[in-house]
Amino acid sequence: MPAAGTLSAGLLATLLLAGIIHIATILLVPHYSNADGWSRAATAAVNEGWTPLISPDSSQAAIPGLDPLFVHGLCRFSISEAPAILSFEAANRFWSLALYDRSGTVEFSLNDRTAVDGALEMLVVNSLDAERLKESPQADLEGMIIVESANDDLIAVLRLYAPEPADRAEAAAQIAAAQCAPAPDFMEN
Amino acid sequence: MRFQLPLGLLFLVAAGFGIGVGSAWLMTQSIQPLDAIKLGAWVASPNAGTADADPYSRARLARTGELPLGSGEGLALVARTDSSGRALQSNCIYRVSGQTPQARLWTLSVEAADGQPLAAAQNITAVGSDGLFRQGDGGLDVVVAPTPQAGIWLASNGGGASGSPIRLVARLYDTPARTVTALTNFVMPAISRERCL
Repeated sequence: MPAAGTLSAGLLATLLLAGIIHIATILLVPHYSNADGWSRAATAAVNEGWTPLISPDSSQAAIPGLDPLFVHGLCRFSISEAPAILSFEAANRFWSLALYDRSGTVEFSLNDRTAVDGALEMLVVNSLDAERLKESPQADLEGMIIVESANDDLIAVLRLYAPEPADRAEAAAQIAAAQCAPAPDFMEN
Repeated sequence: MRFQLPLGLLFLVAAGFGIGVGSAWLMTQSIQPLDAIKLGAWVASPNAGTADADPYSRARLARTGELPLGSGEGLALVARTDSSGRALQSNCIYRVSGQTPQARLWTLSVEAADGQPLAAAQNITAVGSDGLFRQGDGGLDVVVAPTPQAGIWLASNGGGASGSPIRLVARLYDTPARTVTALTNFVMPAISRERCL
């Protein structure tokens, strides 16, 4: 039977180790989970540009917790090589957009009230390109919303209010007409 | 004594891992985030998806797989119990009534407890504020039930077995109410259980 001193030292060491493991686990879960919101969105965003999310007939939606009265579009893009341009138009319904990074944090979000005539023109740049833009502003930027992101790998989620079947069809068409692509020539103008 | 030392060390490491991971798992199992704000039966997490979210709430959110609304989009309030604190079940009839907060648009939906949609078929599981009839005082009056009801009825029977847990989600869009002060001035509707089938 070990001495009481060794026992309590052992207990303390165990708790210390448990504490470190506990903290590490909590901090690592969002980054290594493959069933968190980001991972599910990344799996669903298969197209170049915007991917519409089809409402499931069954109860197994790809992403839980989405508003049933909305139609959603996803776009995964990287701004490491060049800025990305997101453009979208839906003048007659409520819509909102959020940019997510890998940790599930919303880097930027807005709704149609901030947009001119319900149309979105957004440029997403990394810090380097943001600096370049400040030094030599471009004329094309008139009316564009410029978002600077420290993370290169982003997923945009577009939400369109579509309570009736006719609205859903129209919203799906609006997503199909929307753009989300890198603009490699943008900085060279 | 010398033989006991490596064995004891092994036990210590195993116990440490077990307790560490086990307690972390337990903390992320509970649905309610640490920084949640309660308004009657409704719970809001304005920090979800923001840089201000604490690590436990982040880990919990990662487990649910949901994509929280950004601050420029809106805020969701989730009710898993009625106003008396009893868990919401798909086999009971509930009345959601009272004043609703100000927002440019808001929706009310009934969903499975994990956020999966209830199979709608022909039935409606959600209503938007632009389609709602109001009582004389501008209040809300919606019935949530597994069988058809008079008035505005949200169908709760699209999930699994009868009596499975459900949740009600009110999503407020284009609202400044993500600050605590604005939220605590909110009034959310009451959820009363009428009877269970």
